[in-house]
This record gives sequence, C-alpha cells and structure tokens, in this order.
Amino acid sequence: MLNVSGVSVQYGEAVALDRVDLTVNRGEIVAVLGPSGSGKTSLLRAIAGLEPVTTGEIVWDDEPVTHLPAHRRGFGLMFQDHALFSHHDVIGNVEFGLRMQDDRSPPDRRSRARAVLDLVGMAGYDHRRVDQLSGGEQQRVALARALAPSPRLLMLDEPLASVDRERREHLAAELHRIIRAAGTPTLLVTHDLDEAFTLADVVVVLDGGRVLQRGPAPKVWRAPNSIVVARFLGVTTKLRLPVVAGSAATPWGMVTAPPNATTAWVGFRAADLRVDPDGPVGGTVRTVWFRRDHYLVELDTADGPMTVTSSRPPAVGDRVQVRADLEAAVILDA
Amino acid sequence: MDFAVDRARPPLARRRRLRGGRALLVGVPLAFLGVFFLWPVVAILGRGFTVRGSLDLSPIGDVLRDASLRHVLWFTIEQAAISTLATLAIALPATAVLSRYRFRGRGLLVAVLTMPFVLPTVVVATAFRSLGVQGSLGAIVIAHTFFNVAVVVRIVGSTWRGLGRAEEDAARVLGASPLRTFVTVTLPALRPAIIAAASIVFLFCFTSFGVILILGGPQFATLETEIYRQTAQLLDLRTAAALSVVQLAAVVSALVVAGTMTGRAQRVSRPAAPRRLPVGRRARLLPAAGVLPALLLVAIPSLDLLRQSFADHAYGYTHLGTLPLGAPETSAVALLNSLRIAAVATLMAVLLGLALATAVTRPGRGDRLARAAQSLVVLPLGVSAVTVGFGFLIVFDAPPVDLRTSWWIIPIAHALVALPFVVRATVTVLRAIDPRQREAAALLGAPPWRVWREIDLRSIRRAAAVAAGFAFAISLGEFGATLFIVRPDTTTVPVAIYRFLSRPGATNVDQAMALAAILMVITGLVALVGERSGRTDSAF
Amino acid sequence: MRTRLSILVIVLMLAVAACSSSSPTGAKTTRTVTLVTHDSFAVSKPVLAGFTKSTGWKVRVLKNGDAGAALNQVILTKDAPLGDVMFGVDNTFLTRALDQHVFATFRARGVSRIPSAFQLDPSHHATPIDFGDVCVNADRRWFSDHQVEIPKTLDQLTEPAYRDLLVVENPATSSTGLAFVAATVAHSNRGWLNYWDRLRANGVKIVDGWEAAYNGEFSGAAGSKGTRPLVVSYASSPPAEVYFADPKPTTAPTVSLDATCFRQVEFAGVLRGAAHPDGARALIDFMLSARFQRDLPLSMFVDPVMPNTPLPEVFNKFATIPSRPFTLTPTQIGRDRSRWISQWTAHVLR
Repeated sequence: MLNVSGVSVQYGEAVALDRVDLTVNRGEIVAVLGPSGSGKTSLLRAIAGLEPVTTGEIVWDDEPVTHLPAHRRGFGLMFQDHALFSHHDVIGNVEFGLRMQDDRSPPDRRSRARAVLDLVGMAGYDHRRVDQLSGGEQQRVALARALAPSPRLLMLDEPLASVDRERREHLAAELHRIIRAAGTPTLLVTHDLDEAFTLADVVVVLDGGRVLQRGPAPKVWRAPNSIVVARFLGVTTKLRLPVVAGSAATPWGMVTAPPNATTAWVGFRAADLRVDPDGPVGGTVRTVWFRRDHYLVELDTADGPMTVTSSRPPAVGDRVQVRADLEAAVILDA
Repeated sequence: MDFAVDRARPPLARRRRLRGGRALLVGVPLAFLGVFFLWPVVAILGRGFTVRGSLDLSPIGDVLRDASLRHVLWFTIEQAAISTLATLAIALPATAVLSRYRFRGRGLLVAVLTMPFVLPTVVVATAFRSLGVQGSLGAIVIAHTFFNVAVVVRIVGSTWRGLGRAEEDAARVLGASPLRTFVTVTLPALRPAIIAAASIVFLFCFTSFGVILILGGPQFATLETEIYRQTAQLLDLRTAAALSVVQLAAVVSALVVAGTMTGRAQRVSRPAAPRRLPVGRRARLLPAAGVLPALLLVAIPSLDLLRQSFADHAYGYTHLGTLPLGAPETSAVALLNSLRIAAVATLMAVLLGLALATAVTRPGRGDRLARAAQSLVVLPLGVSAVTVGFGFLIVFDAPPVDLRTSWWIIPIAHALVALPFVVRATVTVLRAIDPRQREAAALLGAPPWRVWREIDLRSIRRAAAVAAGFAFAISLGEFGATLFIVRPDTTTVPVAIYRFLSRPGATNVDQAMALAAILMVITGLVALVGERSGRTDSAF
Repeated sequence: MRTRLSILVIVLMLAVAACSSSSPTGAKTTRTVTLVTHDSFAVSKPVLAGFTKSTGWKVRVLKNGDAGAALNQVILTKDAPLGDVMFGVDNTFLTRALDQHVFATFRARGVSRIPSAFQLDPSHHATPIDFGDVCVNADRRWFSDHQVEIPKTLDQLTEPAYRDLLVVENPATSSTGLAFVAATVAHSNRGWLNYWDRLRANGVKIVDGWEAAYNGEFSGAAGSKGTRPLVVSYASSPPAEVYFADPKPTTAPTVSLDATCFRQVEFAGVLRGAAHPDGARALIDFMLSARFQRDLPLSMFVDPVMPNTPLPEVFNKFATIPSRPFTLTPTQIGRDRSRWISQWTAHVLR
C-alpha cells in the first residue's frame, strides 16, 4: 500500500506540490486528475523517486521510501511518450527491467517477457524495432516493459494521450483488463476525464499543487466538492439560486441545498440538459456544435447562458425549450 | 572500468560509493587537471612573480606598457581571428555536404579532411614551403586553416548529422526558402557547435607556435613565441610569467565570450537520415562546390608530402629500421614509442573525458562545479607548452617518485591536450539523450552506473570511438609539449621528424618525409575506422 | 556488448602494463647514471655499451629541447637535479651555467691534453668535449652554374655580386643565428650593426631556424627547392651532405667558407647535488676517451676536442676545420648576448 503524506515539491520559489496526501491500496487503481500544470506529473515523479521531495513522507507498506533512489523503489512507470529504448527491440525493452534483477536467468527472462507481451497483446513482436511501431503498439510495449519486473506499484503518465481517438476506448478497456489481470496497484495521472473515470476506482482531483477532492470515482463524478472541481469535471451550466427553507428553486423544480447555505450553486453537465419541446425553460440558440452522436447547443435564457445537448441541430436564433435531469444536478454552497 | 570493480563489492559498499559517484566523476578529472596542469603552471608563474619571497605583479604592467609587446598581443589576436574566420568559411560548406548527404567515399573524405590536424607543424611547414606559401600573414592563415578544417568538420559535423529535419520541414512549409530555412532554423540549431568549434580553432591559432615561427618568419611574433623565447632561451621568467598571464586572460575571455554566445544546447527531434546526392550533373554541382575548397586546401600539400616521401626510390621507407636517429634509436623505434604513448594517452583522455562528460550532463547537485570543470579542461590549450613543461620540472621533484623524468609524463601531457576534445565530442551526444530514457532505466531497477552503461554508453559509443580516434591522433602528432618535457629515451615520431630535418643530407629529409607520410596515413586510417564504426549506429 | 567492452578494457590494461614494465625506472639492480642533454645528443649504441661494460654504469639519457632550453631546465631544477651529468652547454651559454653554479668542480682524466683554446673554464666546472664551427655554406653547383665566384669573407657578402643570395637564422630563436651574430661582432667589433645594415641592404633573408634556412631556403640542400646559394650552417654540413646521401657522391655539393666561422665549444659537467657523482665523473672521463671522441663526428657531426683523434673518411675528405675561426670569450658573450639580440632585432627585423 502506498502512502503519501504531506508531500511538497518546490523548484526554487515555485511550489509544484503543496502538502499532498494520497493513498493507493492493494488492487486499487487510483487516478490523479488535473489540468496541465496542476502538479500531477511532479507528484508522479516524486513518488517514482525522480524528483526530490521538499517535505513529507512516502511510505510503501511500512517502509519509508522517501529517500530511496528510483531504482531501488520497485515502482514501475509508463512514461507519457513511452520513452522506449530505441537501441533495443521490443523484447529487449521488455527484458530490460528483468536484466536489472540479478537473480533471473536468461531463459527465465525471456519467458517472463514473452508472457507479459502476450498479456498486452503484443506476442510475436519480439524483434520488431520500437520506432517502427504505431502509437498504440508502443504504448503496449511500454506497459509491458513497466509490468515485466512485477513492480510493487504501477504508475501511468497520461497512458492514452498518444493513442488516436478511435482506439482509445478500446485501449482503455484493454488497459483496465491488463491492470486487473496483473493485479498491480496502479496510480495514473491524466487530464482526461474519460481516461480517469473509465480506468480508476478512486479519483483524486489535483489543482495548483493541492488535492481538491478524492473519493471513489462515481462519487466524485456525482458530487464534486467545489465549483472548481465541478467545472473541471465537465459542469458547463451553472445557476446561482437563493435558498429558501433549505431548498433552491430551479426552473425544473426544487433541489435540496447544502445545509446552512443562503445561496446555492446548481450546476449541470451538458448531457443532463436536453432540448425538448416540453421543457419548461426557453432560450435562444447562440451556437451549435456537431458532436458525432449529438449536437451541443449554447443558449441564452432568462436564467443565464446554458450548454445543452440536442439530437437534432437547431438553427442559430431559434427559440428552443430545455428539460433537465434534476437527479444529476451538482449542488454546492455558493 | 568503475563498474567492473563495483560488481565484486558487497551491496553496502556499492551504495556508499554511488552516493559519491558524481563527486568522483568530477573529482578525478579535476584532480588530474589540477595536479598535471594547474599546479605546474601556477608554480612556474609564481617563480616569475616572486621577488625575494614576496609577490610582485609589476611585470604584467611592464609588459602591457611595452609598445612592442602590445603589438605582439594585437598581432596574436588579429591572426587568430582571421584564421578562425577563414577556417569557418572553408570548412562549413564542406561540413554541410558531409553531414547532409550520404555517398560513396564520404568516410574517406572525412578521414582525409581530418588528417592534417595531427600533422606536426614542421612537416606541414615543409609541405607549404615547397609550394611557395610562406613569409606572410596569408601563409599563417592558410596553414592554420589547413590544420583546423578538421576541428570544424568534426565538432559541427557531429551536431549537424544529429539535427532533426522536422524543424526544417516546418520552416519550408511555412514558406521559407532553403536559404531562409538555413539561416532561421538550421544555423541557430548549429550555433552552439559552431561557436564551440570556432572557439577551439581560435584557441589553437592564438597559441600556435610552429606555424608562426616557420611559415610566418621572424618578423611575426605572437605571445606564444615570445613566451617560448623568454622561457626557453632567455630564462626571463618574470617577463614570461607576465606574458603567460596576458595570454591566459585573453584565452579565458575568448572562452567566456564563446560561452555566453553559445546559449543553451537544443534538443532536437528525430535525426534526419542523410540524403542521397541529387541526381544529375548540374544538381550535384552545389555539393561538389561545397567540399572542393576544403578538399583542395588539404589535398594539395598532403599529396605533395606523399610525393616527396617517395623521393629517392622510397629511400625513407626502406630504411626506417636502419638509419639511426642519433641516439641508439631508429625511426621504427620512434614509431613504436609513439603508438604506445598514444594508446595510453587515449585511454587516459577517454576515461577522464567520459567521466567528466557524464558528470556535466547529469542533472543534480554540483552542476556548477561540473560546468567549471568543463571549461577548465580547455585551458591546457591556452597555455604555452613550454610553460607547462618547465612547470613540471619544478613541482614533480618530490621523492619517492620523481615524475619529472618518468615516461608517464608524456602520455599525461598528451592526454591533457586531448581531453577537451573528448569532453566536447561526448558532451554534445550525452546532452542529446532524452533524460526520460535514463529515468525509465532507473525505474526499471538500473542503478546509476548501470543506467550509464545501458543508456549513455550505448548512445555515446560512436562519439567515444571518434573521440578516442581523435585523442590517438592528437597524441601521435603532438610536438610542442613533447619537446619541452624531459624524455628518457623516448623519441616520438614528430620529434624524430624534427630531428631528421635538423640535420643536413638527403637521407635525413627522406626519412622525415616518410615518417610524416606514415603519420598522416595512420591518422587517416584512425579517422576512417571511427567513421566506419559509426555506420551501424547511424543506419536509421 | 558486455564481453566486447570488457575485452577492450583488458586489452587497454595490458597495453598500460606493457608500457609500465618497459619504463626504464625498473632498472634498479645495476647502477645507473643519468645524463641530461639537448635533443641533438647522440652516441652510437656500441660505444655506450662499452662504457657500461667497462665501468658497470648504465646510462639513462634525458633529452629536452635545444641547448638553451636544456640548460635553462637544469638551472631551474638545480635544487633537485634531474640527473647526474649535463652535456651540451656551449660557449655562448657557458657563463650562464657557471654563474648559476649548476656544476660541481671536476678535473676529468686527460683534460690537460685538451688544447688551451678549448679550455674556457679555468675553474674546472665545465669540461670541453667537442667543438663545431658555424660557417657560411655555399652551393657549389649554383656558383658554377651562374659563373660567380664563391665568396670567401664576411665582407664579401655585402658586395653587389652576392645580392639576395644569403639566408641566415634569427639569433633570437636559433643558436646558429646567434653564433653568426657573434661572428660578425668578433669580425666588426663596434661596427657590427653597420655590417648588418650592409647585409640587409644587400638582401639578406632572415628565417627563424636552421631547418627553415637550410632545408627551405638554401639551394644546396639535398632535394631542396630553395633558391639561395648561401646559408649559415656548419663546417660539418658538407660532409653530412655526403654521408647522408645514398649513393654517396664523390664531391661534396656544398662547401663551408673557412673565413666566416664562429667556433662553438660544447661542455659537460657534473651536476651539483648529483645522486651518483662518481658515475657522473666516470661518464665525463669516458666522453674524453678515445672511443667516445672518435664517435663524435658521425653521431653528432661535431669535432672532437682531443687532439690526434682520428676522423672518419667523410670528414677528412669533405670537411675542413677552419684554422682561425672567430671567437669571443664566454664572459663577453654572457654579458652582451641579450643586448646583441635586442639591438639586432630592432635593427634588422623592424
């Protein structure tokens, strides 16, 4: 079990990480989600031992590893751009970590490497040059390389960033399967919501070097604990409403306000607001975006601007009605 | 070598050692430099500046007030600056062609252009003189260019070949003409390498000795020739020390200027594979025109030298083992001496250079020290050989080891001269390694030395081989320092050539020419092997 | 990779080992006397072996730079001498060596038989070993081709007939050049700079060293492309031209002009503070022995100081020893050397 407590990383004056706490339990996949510059890569590097920690402790089970050099931590890391060794072929890359373990014989290494390559679906690629592989193939090799020495902790830096969109879904599912099959506790950092919420059991939201929220993925998704997190988690429409007797009145009905709040902040993701002729709220269409299986529509309404989805494209200037899924509303104390 | 020892040690010792690893990497080369360069130089300068036990820096003022010595200083700067510009003008077009295109005979061409660098000045001067080039500033500049084309081709060439094409392509797509692309994209990327090369060339020309004396003629004096005269002939250590300080100040300021102009080394995208030569006679005209001036400059005197070496029915070659050098030695013995010294000097220079280059390119504490060491390494090129040689004499006299008269002092002196080249050549390559490759290796469990071996050494093999070849060649051709070091029965080839040439008689000249030609060919072969060894690595 | 690397390391280690084992410091079992000298020192192998055989002393030779540089290094290290014997101080540098007290007194065996003209150090610190004459050399062929008479005296060199024919060395950087300046001082006394003015007006060419003058400018050197038929060189250059030719010609292509010569005498001395003074003394005794003296002409192209030493055939046939060379006392040279050089430089070069 990885336990990060109060870890700060400073580069001169700039604070990249500010007293971050984090736990990765056995068999758990934890995603650190944050915009670029949020400090998530610094966190990964600090845990990996590539970045010296200014304050705080990193502990694996009961063993403090804060000052252990990277090569003695037994953690695996898959770099964002894979950082494959171009002077080795595929199997050479995967065997690298095994060669660093003195107790393995060459045939043993080979069979382990083959097994891991098989796991990531790259069997038979042994002697291919890594720079002739596609992005997805490189990613699998990078994953295999990280997994081969059986790390105590697997870390992934934006694992799907360099994979083309069509294959991302598929690869995300694959990745999930592989990590589960390997049973290695995993920490991934990403700025991509899909990546975080499809892969992880636990999501940690990081911004400005601080942890804003942590919790089981569905819970974080449903209930962001701050406006900043809510915005980052895709809440695009927000209403500021007065609280009367513990409730706030939205155009679609009453919602329960947080205790002691005088003004509530009620937010919706675009998917939870739909154009519907029977909807109670009307607005004028400002822009329309085509989004493959739906249209994204920006409206001006009496309650302010809204971003909603529609199955058909309205024309700019049209008046349309909007319906909301009140269950999915994010309600915060403004 | 480090790791070979390491493996046998228990884990605890290994851990402790590695923590001091970086200190060791910087410390050993620094100690080498300190003991074999700084100490002797400071000691001999100290003699010059000490009057009855107290420090007296007035000689510096005296030297600067002396109009004729001021003239010497200006001339030194002038000829070095002109020579540097001329070298760049001749060598850069050739470098462009050699690094951008692949064609049959490319390796040979590089080898040919590299050869002159290590030829002893006496020989080159003879070659140029027989072509009628002598007795003018022009002769000095031409000879300096002849010697230093190799420096530019090597240093700039290695960067150029590693240059990514993506940036250039981007510029072309954005509408830049080829020339514009070169000026706005290629040139800035090459700038650190060009400035590095230019500063080394400048340094060489600034401190050049034989060329000035032999080809320039007595009306030309540089700081270096003055220091030699004051030290070796007049034993006026006061004036010599003052001149050395002036020279050192000039050299250091040149290096500082170069350092500030260099800027940060850029990491480039994936290296472009060398292109084939364009098809068609007219299209090939431009590449040919780029190489031709450098080739002619190098080939004409070299071929003339070769021709001369076969005079008298190749007498020089057929009598290598018989004609005595004076002492009970022959040319064959000198050749063996030279090869042996060069092997040891190369080993020292490469090990120390790699250590320093590794330390400089690893991030972490002690960065400034490492960088300081990197600049310090260049200083031996800026200090007169006679100063160092005389310095050796007054510091290494402590028993039990009287290093002054030891055989080792010669390869050590050669290693000092070769070290900056090894460092330069390898640092560039090490800097170009993506640090994440090292991090990836560390995360996969590789301890620092293993990371070095698996990642750094892998990418540096080629550069190290080329640097080793260069160091070998430098040692083979080194003359100035060798002459001023006490040598127990170890005549090197350049010294032998010098000695043959300082005796009347046809057979002496024949021997000298044959030895010079042999030296030239060995150097060429070493360069060629270096080029070849790189071929497998640069296949993609 | 791993194996290749370790093989490389092993090979290089072996190379180092081979070198260190061959370094001469290992020879501790026999007694070794160390000779400090300049680059031009040479002696035949059997001769040196003869010394070891008869005395039991092995000789280790340390060479360094030219005569001036070698002496200066000896002076610089006089508190911790590099060796036991110094060979190669000539009369132009003798006073510097004596003033700096680098030599211990020693009366070599047979020193009394050396002609008094060579006995320039009455205090017996420095022992004369050989001498040579720096003379103007002429290219016989050029003079016969151009039907010009070969000049005989220094004064003739300033005549119009010999305009643009002479090349000399810079006395600031060449001991040959310095010797020639000394010859002109001995010849013209106070008017020596006037003599140089006349030489200069007559188109004398100055180059930096003997090699550039002889091999580069002088038309008489074997294989030379030089154009000047007169050069400042040595009385031993004509026999060397013959000796170092293959096949050997029957007449020397060059001739040395007897009336233009300045005599250089080379000395050896026991270094003060020598570790093996008895070996040093034995070596100097040996240098005056018939065997070593006989070897001098062909190994260093100088003449032996011991009278009646038989000379090799090329010397007898092609060399003349000038009967009345120019000389100056070492004291005068020591006193005026720097002044001559700076005056000469200001007068002739600038």
